[in-house]
Amino acid sequence: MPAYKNRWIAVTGIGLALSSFLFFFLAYPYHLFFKEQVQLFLYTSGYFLSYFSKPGWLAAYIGDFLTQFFYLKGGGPLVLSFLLTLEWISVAVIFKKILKLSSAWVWALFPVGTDWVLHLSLLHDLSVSAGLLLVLGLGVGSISVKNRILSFVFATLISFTCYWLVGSAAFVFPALVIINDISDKKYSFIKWGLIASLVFAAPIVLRKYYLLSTGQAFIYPAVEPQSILLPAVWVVTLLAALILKPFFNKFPKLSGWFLPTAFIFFMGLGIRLNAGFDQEKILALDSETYFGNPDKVLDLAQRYNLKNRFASYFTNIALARQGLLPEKLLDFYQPGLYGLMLPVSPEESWESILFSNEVYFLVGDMNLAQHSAMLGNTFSPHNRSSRMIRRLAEINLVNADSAAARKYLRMLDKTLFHKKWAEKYLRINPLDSSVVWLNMKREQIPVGDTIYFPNDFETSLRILVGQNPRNRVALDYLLCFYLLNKDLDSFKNSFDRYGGIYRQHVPKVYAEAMLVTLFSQNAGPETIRSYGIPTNIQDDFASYTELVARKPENFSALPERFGKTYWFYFHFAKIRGK
Amino acid sequence: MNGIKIHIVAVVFLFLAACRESGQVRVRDGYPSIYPDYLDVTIPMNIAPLNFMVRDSVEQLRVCIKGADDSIVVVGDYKIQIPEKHWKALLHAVSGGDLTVVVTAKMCGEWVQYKPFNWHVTNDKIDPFLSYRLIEPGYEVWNKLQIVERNIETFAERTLADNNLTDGCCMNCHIHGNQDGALSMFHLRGGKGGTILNRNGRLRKINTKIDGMISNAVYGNFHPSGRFGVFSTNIIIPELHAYRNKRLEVYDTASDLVVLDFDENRAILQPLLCDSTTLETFPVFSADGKWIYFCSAPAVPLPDSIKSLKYHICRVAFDADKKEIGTTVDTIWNALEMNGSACHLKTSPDGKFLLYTVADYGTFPIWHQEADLRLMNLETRTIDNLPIVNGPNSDSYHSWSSNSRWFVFASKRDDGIYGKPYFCYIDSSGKAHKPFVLPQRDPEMYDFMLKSFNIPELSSGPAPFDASDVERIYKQKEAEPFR
Repeated sequence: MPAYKNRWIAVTGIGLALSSFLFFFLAYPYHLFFKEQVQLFLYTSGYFLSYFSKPGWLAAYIGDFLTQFFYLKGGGPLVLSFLLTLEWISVAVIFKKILKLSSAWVWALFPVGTDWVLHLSLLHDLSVSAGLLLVLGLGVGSISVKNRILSFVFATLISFTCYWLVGSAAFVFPALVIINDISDKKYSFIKWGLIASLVFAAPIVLRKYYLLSTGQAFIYPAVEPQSILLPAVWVVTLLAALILKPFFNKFPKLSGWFLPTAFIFFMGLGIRLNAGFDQEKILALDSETYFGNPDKVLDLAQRYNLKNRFASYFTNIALARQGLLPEKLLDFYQPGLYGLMLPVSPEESWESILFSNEVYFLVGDMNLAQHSAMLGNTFSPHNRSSRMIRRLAEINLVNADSAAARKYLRMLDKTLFHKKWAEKYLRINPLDSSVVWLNMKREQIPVGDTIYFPNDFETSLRILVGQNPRNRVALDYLLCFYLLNKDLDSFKNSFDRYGGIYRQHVPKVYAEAMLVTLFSQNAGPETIRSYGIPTNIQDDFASYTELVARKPENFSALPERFGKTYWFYFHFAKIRGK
Repeated sequence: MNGIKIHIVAVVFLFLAACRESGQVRVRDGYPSIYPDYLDVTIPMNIAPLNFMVRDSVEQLRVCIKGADDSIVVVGDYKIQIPEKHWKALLHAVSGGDLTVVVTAKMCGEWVQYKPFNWHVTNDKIDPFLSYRLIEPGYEVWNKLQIVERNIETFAERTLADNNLTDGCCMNCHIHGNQDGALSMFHLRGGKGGTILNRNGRLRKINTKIDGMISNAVYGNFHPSGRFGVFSTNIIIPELHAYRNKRLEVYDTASDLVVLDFDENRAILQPLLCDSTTLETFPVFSADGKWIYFCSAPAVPLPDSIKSLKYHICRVAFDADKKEIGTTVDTIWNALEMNGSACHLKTSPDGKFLLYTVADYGTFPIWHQEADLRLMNLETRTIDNLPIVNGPNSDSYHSWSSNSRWFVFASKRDDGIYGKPYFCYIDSSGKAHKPFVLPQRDPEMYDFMLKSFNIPELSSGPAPFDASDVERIYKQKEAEPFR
């Protein structure tokens, strides 16, 4: 091979490694972190054995093992970059071995690019990539055996075990062997028929043993059907290379520019179709909320400026944590109730259910938080979420339910990256009053009992505030709940009853809303004065009403001057559903 | 891989002398903190090995299980797995007597011997099959559900139904009739659902919703003949508690009773038991099939008066020949006098006892920490509060063994969230013994499991169907109508 070609191969390999690392590190880091959050990899023998209950146990175990490193900053991009590069080398080696193609290293980019694009989805697991790598390894082993009988025996043995080891990636194996034989002009229809039928019959025959539906059996360990594109594109690429080989041999210069161009187009289209950059922003807000960085959440929220209920949800949490909810509520997009809380119901996505506990934990409703966290865990793709297990441990510590907390902490104690956290929390004596965060949370929780429906956020907040009016976060959520629902009577009643802490200084949004209420009740100057509403807000309100009262044509001037006031929201905002 | 421990289990079948420690061992006056709690429990002679772990920080474990003439020594790191073959031989040899368990542990380089404890082995066998539903304790919703059958003489387990094969639908309330594997049923909910009835291996899918009934059949029980089933129909409402770990309250806003005739596909109703002023639920037949026991409470405004919703235990006659329900209802346990609320009635197969759960109020005790089992002698009407059986959390959903000497129940005593099956022995004098949890091959399994063992049911034989049979009937058969 000419030296310049070797240089190009090295450049491609390094380019692939670097570009995939940089892409996932800069453009997609929160997706990868979130993938770790929705799995729980335990270092126990029982957990390892549990993989045998489904096909592709080896691929699934390796994939999940590697996914735990997504917890580390840069860990996900590094693992993915390594895997994609390894995949590219393996595919190129096999293509070269089978097709004797000098452009094998370019052809190999297509399946690898497919995997890259597929990894943009939250539901595409590393197990699929691991499965492909494993089956390619088995394939290389198989086609390296030159003895005809031994090759037959070896291929049959692999066909028998392939599905068990790698799951749906097994479908690559017969294609690899058959195309290799065709390329070598060794036509053995019995062998091809046998290995193909063994591999393709495995999901049908074994699905009852594995308790999978037919569809699941053909894609396992993948969670979503589109993951099957990886083995499919691999096979199609190999076939295409085989078919087009004579053509490109005849016009070698054509392959020099055509294939890279096609690949760039392929990647551009794939990323455009499959990337969830808005979802990445939501996951950024979610993760920064989880890390306890309200400043960063607000900074990101301002930069993203998303008109999305999840963005509003995390923004409001950050505002509430900083005590700014009643000051800056309307500085951000507010879709109504569902920007304050996320309902837990069958109509909601699993991500939404997973996010939903955060606000309940913040306001101090441990039972709603536990309900949401339990269901978040249940409905996460693998029914085990490290984040939900952590939250369940925290909730039970707050409730002084140490037996339940220990249950979850023991699980986390068997992980690589949550172990330290678990050890720290296992040392906590739930009755120890020196644990500051525990005491703060306990001050919020209800001391009396009543029952209410799971998504009844208003009742939950009323109970929390009714039992402890100093629970300022819950009070702000309750008052903002009424304001966003334009329920000014309930707002005023609750403010009058529990809003004593705001007598000295009425926050902007409350002051604006109170003026609307008082105005509609024809309240006198004495009453308005008793609320201590700043005069500048009273003056603004006078200007606003004057502007509105004059003519509808003045409405166009309103958003610029009053777009972030409650008056504008009250008059013009449409409350959105889910 | 610090969590993955490879167990080196050295098994020695020796005489008593094998349990003597040869080296320097300090004797400690106290029991080891073993999990599961198998200290001084009574076990049947046909139970699987009681593998356990020690929660203290131990480096090595040596456990000697001594019978009358022989013993087993098992070595592990912090958990032991007793070899099944030797365990069975030991149980047979000691049947009716005691096994003594001596735990010696290496801690901080020093060998420490704990105070020995006993396992009392009875000749009374327990029904060898246990079926249960595995479900995340996720309140009122579900995701992955399985009904599993475990052979409790071994660790073999097989899946009887899996909702992954039935469009994710809910499956619940599985029961056996006469503790017979060939007589059972459970409900599959959803569009293609129905009640799956197994009579001698023939599976039927029936539609238990009849015009005028408030819902499909819910809680039920078989008549001893296997021909009839008595069910409640319920409008069930789940709500959350506000207070700490009280978690969930589930109550009925309406509930009635109905008897279904599986031969004639006919419902037998009694207006007295379909009254909107009274809530009736958890019906069971008496062992002779002549009575229907059930829980009954006067309707109260809900949810406001939930704490005054208290269920009595009542009974009404049933004539299987005439296919008639009686017209007189007797109250045999008065909820107001007893200041509690009864649920989950189960009559013993010998007709002597009625086992039930009592909570402070309501009809759904699995999240009621105070919910405890009670045993009523149906001849004398005396009640045993079962102090040795009940734990600090909910104990409910019980089922008898066919010889009436054992029952299994779901208990949340370990962590208050995840229910596990516990077995309790009732000796010939009617005395209850300390219960023990279903043994597992890996005793640590319960620590890492995120599912509850729901509605454990004992049966003398295996169910003659599996998950693929259920999938087939779910997808291919129409539900038989009842009238």
